[in-house]
Amino acid sequence: MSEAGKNRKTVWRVYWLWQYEEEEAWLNRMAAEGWVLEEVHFFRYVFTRCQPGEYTVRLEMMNGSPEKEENQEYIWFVRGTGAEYVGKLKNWIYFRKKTVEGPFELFSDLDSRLTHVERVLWLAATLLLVIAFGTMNMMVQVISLRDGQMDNGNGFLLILYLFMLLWIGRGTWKLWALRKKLKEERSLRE
Amino acid sequence: MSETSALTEAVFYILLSLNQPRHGYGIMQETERMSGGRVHLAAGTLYGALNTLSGKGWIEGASGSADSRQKKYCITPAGQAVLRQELVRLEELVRNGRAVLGTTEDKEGEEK
Repeated sequence: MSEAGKNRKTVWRVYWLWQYEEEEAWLNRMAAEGWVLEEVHFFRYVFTRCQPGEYTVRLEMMNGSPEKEENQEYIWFVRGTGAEYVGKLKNWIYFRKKTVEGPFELFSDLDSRLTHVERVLWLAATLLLVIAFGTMNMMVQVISLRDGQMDNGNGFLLILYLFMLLWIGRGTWKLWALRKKLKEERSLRE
Repeated sequence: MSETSALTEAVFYILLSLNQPRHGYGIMQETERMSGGRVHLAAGTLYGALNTLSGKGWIEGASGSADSRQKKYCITPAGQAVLRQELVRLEELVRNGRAVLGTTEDKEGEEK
């Protein structure tokens, strides 16, 4: 293995929209083991060598593209607090900060965590709605065909749609439950 | 954040630290110092609060900080009034808490 190869590695891994907490936890486990996030791509993470526990990694979903002016301003603001901007993937942005420079969180109260969960939840709910319409449309098509004339392709697509509906439905429900939990907590404390 | 309800801890410390112009990181550090390291304002939470407080007119961008990357903020007279009102509320809480539970010093004394 080349010198560069020893200090850099790529890991393929799938995290869905509603698994961002797991994703962040995994990125921090990697950092604790001496691999810090360097680049983010679809399902592909590039890490470079660091001292074990040298960095804390945080991620957040923006309202719209990170290229938008107000979001760029936010990224500058977070950088101004000592964090490094690692990169973006769609609406998600990734930061890392050296642990010696103090604790690194993006949210320190329930209100801001709730705002963020709701942002992710509405996106998941929109996706769910789109898939639900697609599924209904597919069902109508499959049902309206006479017996024996059913196209295998349509049947397969319908199953695919149903699977996606269940999958995204489960994810949306998970986000909904998290939102509910945070709301309950907020009625007692900040 | 209605005018009569309690301020959040984050808002209270942000307003307090803006007694002199500070940028985001300065607010975080001052809050940490004042609270003896207990309160850490996270970047996202702070950013959201600064926008909300600016919108309410409780704080404003300090003059001479055109560069938004290191924008400095300052409390306004309206913000100071809110802070004073909150102090009255907090004093009431402490007074009532002490009346029922005794002072924290007494409690420690009992345990000794």
